[in-house]
Amino acid sequence: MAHLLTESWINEFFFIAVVLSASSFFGFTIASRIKSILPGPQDNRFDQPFKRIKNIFKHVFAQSKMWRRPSIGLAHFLIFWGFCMVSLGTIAFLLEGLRFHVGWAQNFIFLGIQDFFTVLVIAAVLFAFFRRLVLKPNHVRLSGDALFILGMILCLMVTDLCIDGASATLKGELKSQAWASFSLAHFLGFPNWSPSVLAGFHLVNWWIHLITVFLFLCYLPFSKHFHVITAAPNIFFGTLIPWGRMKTLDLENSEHFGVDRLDQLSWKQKLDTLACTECGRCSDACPATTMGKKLDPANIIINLRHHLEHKDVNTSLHGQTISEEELWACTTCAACMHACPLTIEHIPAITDMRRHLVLMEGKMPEEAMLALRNLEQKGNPWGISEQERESWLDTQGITPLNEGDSVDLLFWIGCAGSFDDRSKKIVLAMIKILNHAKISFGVIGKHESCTGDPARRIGNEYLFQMLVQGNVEALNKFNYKKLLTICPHCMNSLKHEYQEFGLYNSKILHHSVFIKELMDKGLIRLKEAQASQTVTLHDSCYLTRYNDIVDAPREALKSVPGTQLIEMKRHGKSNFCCGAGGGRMWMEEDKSARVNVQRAEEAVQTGAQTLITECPFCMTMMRDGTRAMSEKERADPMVVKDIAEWVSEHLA
Amino acid sequence: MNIAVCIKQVPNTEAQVILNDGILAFSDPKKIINPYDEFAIEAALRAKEQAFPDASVTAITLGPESATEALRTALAMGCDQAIHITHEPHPGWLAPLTVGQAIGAALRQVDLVFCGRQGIDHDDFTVPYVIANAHQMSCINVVKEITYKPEEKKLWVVRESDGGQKEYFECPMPAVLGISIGLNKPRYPSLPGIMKAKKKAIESLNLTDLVSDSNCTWIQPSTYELPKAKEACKMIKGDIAEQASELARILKEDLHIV
Ligand code: SF4
Ligand code: SF4
Repeated sequence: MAHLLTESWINEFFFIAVVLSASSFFGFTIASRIKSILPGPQDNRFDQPFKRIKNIFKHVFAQSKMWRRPSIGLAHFLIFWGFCMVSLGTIAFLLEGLRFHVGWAQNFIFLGIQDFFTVLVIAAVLFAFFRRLVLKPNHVRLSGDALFILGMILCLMVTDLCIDGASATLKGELKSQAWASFSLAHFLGFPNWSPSVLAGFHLVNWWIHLITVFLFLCYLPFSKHFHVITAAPNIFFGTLIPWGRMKTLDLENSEHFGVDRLDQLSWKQKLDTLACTECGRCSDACPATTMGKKLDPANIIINLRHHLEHKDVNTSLHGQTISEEELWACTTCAACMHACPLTIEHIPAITDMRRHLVLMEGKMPEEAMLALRNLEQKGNPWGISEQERESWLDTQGITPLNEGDSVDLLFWIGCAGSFDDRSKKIVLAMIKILNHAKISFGVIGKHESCTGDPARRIGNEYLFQMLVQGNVEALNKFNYKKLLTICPHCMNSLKHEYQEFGLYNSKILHHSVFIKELMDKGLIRLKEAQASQTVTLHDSCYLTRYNDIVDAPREALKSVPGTQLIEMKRHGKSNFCCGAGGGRMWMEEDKSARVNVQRAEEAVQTGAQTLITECPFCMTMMRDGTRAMSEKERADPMVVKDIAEWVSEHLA
Repeated sequence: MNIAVCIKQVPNTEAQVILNDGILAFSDPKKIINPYDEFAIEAALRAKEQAFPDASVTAITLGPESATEALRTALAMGCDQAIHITHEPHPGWLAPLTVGQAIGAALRQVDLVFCGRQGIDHDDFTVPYVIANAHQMSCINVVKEITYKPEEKKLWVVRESDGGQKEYFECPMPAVLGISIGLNKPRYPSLPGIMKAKKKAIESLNLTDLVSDSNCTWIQPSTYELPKAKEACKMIKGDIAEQASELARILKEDLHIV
């Protein structure tokens, strides 16, 4: 941006005064923000710097998550890069104001590129205005804040062009390379203006631009556009730990467990609240919000920020800021975290607050309490005698291993597989596949207990650790190389959470992946296709978003001759939860708006004949969902089958 | 002011009864607090919180070493102290009269005693009355509702009989109350509560110091017999005609009914 400072010392004095006071104000605000987020438990986010830098390239420079909606992705991409280019111009503008000579800023190539971005930003801002004021999509919250910020950006861009056009005209250097300011100057007829009027015009624009720059800077920390500053650090410090591994609490040496007050959230969890742009992507993806429940992940983050900004650090977050109803509605499906372009971590915040309710106050929905009591007393959430784990295997002629036995593949049957009649059929189907492929395996019967996944996600870390210790002790009595399970929740816990408690190192496999492996090795022979059969696949959140398992089940299904997979609109990593995760399986749900019914509708809409699941809990939820739908529509419910059942039915 | 709550450790409700060489055992070694007693603990804690803030709540049990686990749970829920009455191992179990006498003797000064209405293992419905008798206290069992009148040292108690009719009592203190399910919602112990309970001392008393040998009655059946396992249904396969002829054949040839 070319600069033409008048000789007046008053001008210079005010310039310096504005720069100094605005910078100190901005510096002070930032320092106080940093101070406000610092107190809290340790949270080391400085490890693996290269991975973190890679994330900056991915999520900041390439804006990878924004492209999921291409038109918005493009607009934001242009605004982002335009903003960076224009900021270079602003830096030059300020340096020149301080009487430094900035050669590159006069370079016509730079001016040309900068003009290009300035115009792009103007176009993007106008589109953003149009979207907010005319199109009004659901997830975008119309706020004065957003309009004010957009207005300021527009003002900066327009004044920028005016300054450049006027200054070049006055210097007699109006060149077509700076095409936008050149065109504007000709459009407004600058060459015909008297020099004094043009100089006045320049001065006014110059001051408006300067004041807007600093107004923007000083206003930022108070607005959701603070993300302009916080986004990059938030992404840099984003978690590198698998989402499926919840933070372990030190039960022996702590006095408080979970989060009641802000100073019990780590600095990064508080930085998250300052980074949120209120874009609503997380809410859009959230099954609870979609079904009209009180939980809205964006609100959780925004309300924490309001608490941080306006309330005493000693006031409890529970009650006014975050209600119990919101916390208990979460299925920990991670759709929010997957959707958030700023890699904000909603689930740890939610489960940390649940931990406070359960561990410190003994508060939770009654049904959740019953599930925890069953886990404590019986070792499984169903509350059925542990004896059943062995007695039903016995009816199938399967004898558990003896302590010390060695086996290549250990089949972890899990609670659903042991106590739920429908899930037992999945186990049998998997055994049929193993026998077909001549894979020997062992089970450990009554040595199994619940992995503790529901206890941990409901918030009872104490019970979780007790169950883990029991299971690790039990598992370590056997020698095995691979651990197979039909339950994504068991798999997730065993894979990500058990090593820390001393589980013998082995490969932990979900059955869909193992089936695919067996197919690849040519160990599975399938029947010739009789007729084409259409299926749709309901992904498990704990497979896709937590463990990156998207393709294996699809490829396995497609390998079955005659099977035609029709995808639901939301599938793979963008799948919609069944409603059972995070311990929700064990809690009542308002019958009027149930997550599983919504998902069942999506499955039915594909027109596929069969709905395939890959998790015993999804199976229960989808069966209930399809039945509820069929009652409404008086039709036969859609058939729901586990992927193991589908493959086993097609064995040659 | 002293409040006591009597609890018992019982076999897991889901455990199957098995016979090992003629000795009764359970498929699942995990034991639990008698479910009625959980409501009694909650009632005792609420009595303190709602009416007698200065009271001290003592949980008391009689049983083997493992019974201390039940006491730890009671402490974690909020009881102030715990007493464990121990006895020599015995293949049988103690008569409820002996249990009541032992507990009665262990509780020296007491104004309110809460018990579960019955133990789910032997269903005797007896211990509350024996304790009341030992201390000459009022006693109401199968209590559904309680209102405290601390100034008058009285309680309003609603008792529900089997048929569902309600009986209202004005009950003078000291009193023994047998608590039924549904009186309250037992609280979930907090983790700091559990941690503190782990470290608390449990007072240990010996049965023989409380009840003389001649008054100690042990119950031990001569033999046991377990109920016969239900015979599984037999499903007849085939189409209707095949099923009908197979049914006829079974009735005639196997069962000799027709
Ligand atoms: S984890 Fe799922 S249910 Fe919970 S807030 Fe996020 S999107 Fe909503
Ligand atoms: S948490 Fe992330 S996705 Fe949700 S509103 Fe904030 S920035 Fe958007």
